[in-house]
Amino acid sequence: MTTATGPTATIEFDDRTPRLFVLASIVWGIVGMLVGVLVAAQLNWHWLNFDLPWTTFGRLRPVHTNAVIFAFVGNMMFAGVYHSTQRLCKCRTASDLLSKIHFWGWQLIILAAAITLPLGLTRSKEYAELIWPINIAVAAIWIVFAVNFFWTLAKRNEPSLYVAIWFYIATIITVTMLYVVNHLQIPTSLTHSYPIFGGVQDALVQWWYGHNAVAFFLTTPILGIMYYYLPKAANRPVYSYRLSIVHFWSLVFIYIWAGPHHLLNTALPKWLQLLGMFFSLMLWAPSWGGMLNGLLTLRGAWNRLRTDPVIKFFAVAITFYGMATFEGPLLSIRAVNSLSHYTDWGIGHVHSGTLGWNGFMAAGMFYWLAPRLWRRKDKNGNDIPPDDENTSCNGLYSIAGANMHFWIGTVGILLYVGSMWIAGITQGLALNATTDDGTMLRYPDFVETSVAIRPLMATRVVGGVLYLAGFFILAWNIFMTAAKGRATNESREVVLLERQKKKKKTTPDSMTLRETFKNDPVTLTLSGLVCLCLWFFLPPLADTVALLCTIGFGVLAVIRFRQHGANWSLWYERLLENWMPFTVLTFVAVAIGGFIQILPTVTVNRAKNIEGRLQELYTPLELAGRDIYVAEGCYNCHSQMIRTMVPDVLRYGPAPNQGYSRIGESIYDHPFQWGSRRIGPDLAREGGVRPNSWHYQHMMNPRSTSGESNMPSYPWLADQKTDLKALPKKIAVLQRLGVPFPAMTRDEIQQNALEQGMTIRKELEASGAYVAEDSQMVAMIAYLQKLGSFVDTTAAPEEETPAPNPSQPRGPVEPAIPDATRNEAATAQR
Amino acid sequence: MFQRLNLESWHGIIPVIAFILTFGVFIYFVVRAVTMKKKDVNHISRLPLDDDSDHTNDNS
Repeated sequence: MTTATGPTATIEFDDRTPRLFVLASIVWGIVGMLVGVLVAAQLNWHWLNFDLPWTTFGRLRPVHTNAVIFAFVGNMMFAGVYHSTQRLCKCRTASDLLSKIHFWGWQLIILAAAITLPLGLTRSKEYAELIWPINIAVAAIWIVFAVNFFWTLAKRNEPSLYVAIWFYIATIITVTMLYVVNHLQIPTSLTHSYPIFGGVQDALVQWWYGHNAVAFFLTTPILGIMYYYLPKAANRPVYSYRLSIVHFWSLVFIYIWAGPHHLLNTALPKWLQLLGMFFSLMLWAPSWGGMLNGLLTLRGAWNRLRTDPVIKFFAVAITFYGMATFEGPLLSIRAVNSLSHYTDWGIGHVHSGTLGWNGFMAAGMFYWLAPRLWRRKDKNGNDIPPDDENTSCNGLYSIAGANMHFWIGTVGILLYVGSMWIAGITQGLALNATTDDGTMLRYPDFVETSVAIRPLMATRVVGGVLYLAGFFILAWNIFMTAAKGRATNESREVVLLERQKKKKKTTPDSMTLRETFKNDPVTLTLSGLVCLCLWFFLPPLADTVALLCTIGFGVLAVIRFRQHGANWSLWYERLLENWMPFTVLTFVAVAIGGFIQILPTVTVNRAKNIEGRLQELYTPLELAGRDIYVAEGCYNCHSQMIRTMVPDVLRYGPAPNQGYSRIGESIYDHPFQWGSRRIGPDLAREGGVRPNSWHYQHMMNPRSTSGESNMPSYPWLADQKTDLKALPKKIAVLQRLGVPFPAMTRDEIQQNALEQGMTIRKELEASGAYVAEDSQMVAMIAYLQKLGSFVDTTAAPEEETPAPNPSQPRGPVEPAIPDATRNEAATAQR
Repeated sequence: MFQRLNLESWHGIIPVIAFILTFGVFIYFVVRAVTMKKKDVNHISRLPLDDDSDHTNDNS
């Protein structure tokens, strides 16, 4: 371990950037939480959708999730990273210009998201909804952030990399990897694109990203912040630095594998489900290691829990981290997941993490930072020192206000999370309940189970309002501190690190990439891993050779370690003082999990390999309807995945030729629409169940067909035109992605869509509903009536199954429930 | 063939291999953490608290 030697100098930190990010986080946090309260209220009082396209639940829910994740927590994270990295590296941020570009670029991206999402411009992948031009902007700004961060590391005057920096490194490289892979897409226009993955591939990639967005955007950077600000607030070092090392590597290595737990009991291959469950359970250990390390850091400082709001917020935040990371593995057990998935239990789990862990860590950090970033003076004109024996936020405008925020926020979280737990378990039990030896559903009416949890959903709104009220107090407190104080940049005298030539091996950042990889620990481990992978893939005999090679490399590693063990230790110790090889090693650790999970799925689970059911291709009009379904955010409430569970099959696929959803039934869906929450019923086999006129009435006013429904009305679908001109380009892109649409000219595509539209229009006219054949309503009905259509490839194994021709629109839909009886039957079905 | 690959072979093997891999990584870093020199641990763990001077500049 080297220490800094050399001349000293006074450096001035760039505290303007953290100040801006703190203020932006507070402003966007209020916006995101306000929208959150609104969408929560919409589920109880449907009229709050205001019958306007841009204020429906389906369009606003992504505004809420994106705002709180990327705007609130994102800005908070950047504030913490910029502030703490300078102190830990004992140098100013590398480039003020890059900091400015990062800040303003990020705010513009948030603004663009806040405009485009309510307009229905979405990719429909959760937490990855933004359209492709914004995706490119996000990538560019993220690179600016990464360059600035790593450049700062290269300039540092402290040889050692503190564990908080490790977490920041893991965040930057993993988010880059996740974001790039999950946003691979081909544009069809300036505002629309199709992801390159479809069906099960898209589901796996999406939840690999979605789960790890939680892991590497909402957790690892905040853990870095915890490891820096908690010791600062408690004025004592972290309880066990050794434990923090184990915490980091275990968390980073395990987290990336757990994504498939979002797809348990679905058509995802079982080995992936097992892997997701298995690793989620293992994740419990490092998470609790981190939690205990955090809480035990307060040893000897617990008395300050009474007087210091910063410690209060941190202690409760870490406790919620522990609760959420216990609950996550619990929900990943397949049996528990069969009850919890698609219900509000998941929503409660997420919010115990975001409101409790993220929100309270943010509050604690802001209260700690504010009196330091905006220094106040006492009556005598002297600076108020932020630290004394009772609190770490002296100089804050109102410590009493911070305490009030703490209690209001805590009660708000408990009301929110508690009500969602009860609502989720209640609805899950009701939806899964059967009678007559499991042959009948006890509660066949979906809406009945939804109505039963309305009081709990109202309680959730109250909890959300309380939490928001607490946050308003924070905003007032911080803004008043800023108004009464003066913006201050800290200066510090530091020992400048002597920059030596790279060949000398004891100086920081002296390790070249060649030295990093050309050594025994790396070459032997990688060789062993490659042989292990070959053992999976190679045919018999060759796989045995690969296995023997794996064992051989293991034996060789033991021999070499016994001969040169000291070199192995030296390599690791040097790695901890060299940010670039450390970053590469971290990337390898996080990439292994994704590689092993995604590669087989992407190469094997393709339409040409499907044995059994294969999705019928959409007609042009149905494809247009699907894009409207996506734009309206229907996936936020309706899944399209009947799980491999008796109650799911009884409710959504009871006919002999239906059953649970197979992997091939959505193989051409770009993007997939399996969903993550059932606020309404599953639609996987909605096609042909009800007549077109029912769908028309249901979308014009859902209460006309399902009296207690909380679904928004969509009257504008009847007036707005479908963009038929965009269809040829869309079909061409899908063809490039492997969807076997037959060759059709531009005119054929549009003519086909109009003909199918006219058929539907005439049917609607017969029941007294008048809409144009090119209206969005007609396209949406066409899509809904197609759901659940498939061909059975095993029916004629001797012949090559021809792809169904979408240029031949299906004839009039013959509903399972005729018009005459639909009103009574529809209620019973739902 | 692919159905068998999906549902049978991978099902059993991968989680076991993944567990062995993870356990190996875990043990390695536990050993590395435990064998760290106490002096180094103390030095690094005190880095957040290492702010001796406290000069400030107004709104620059």
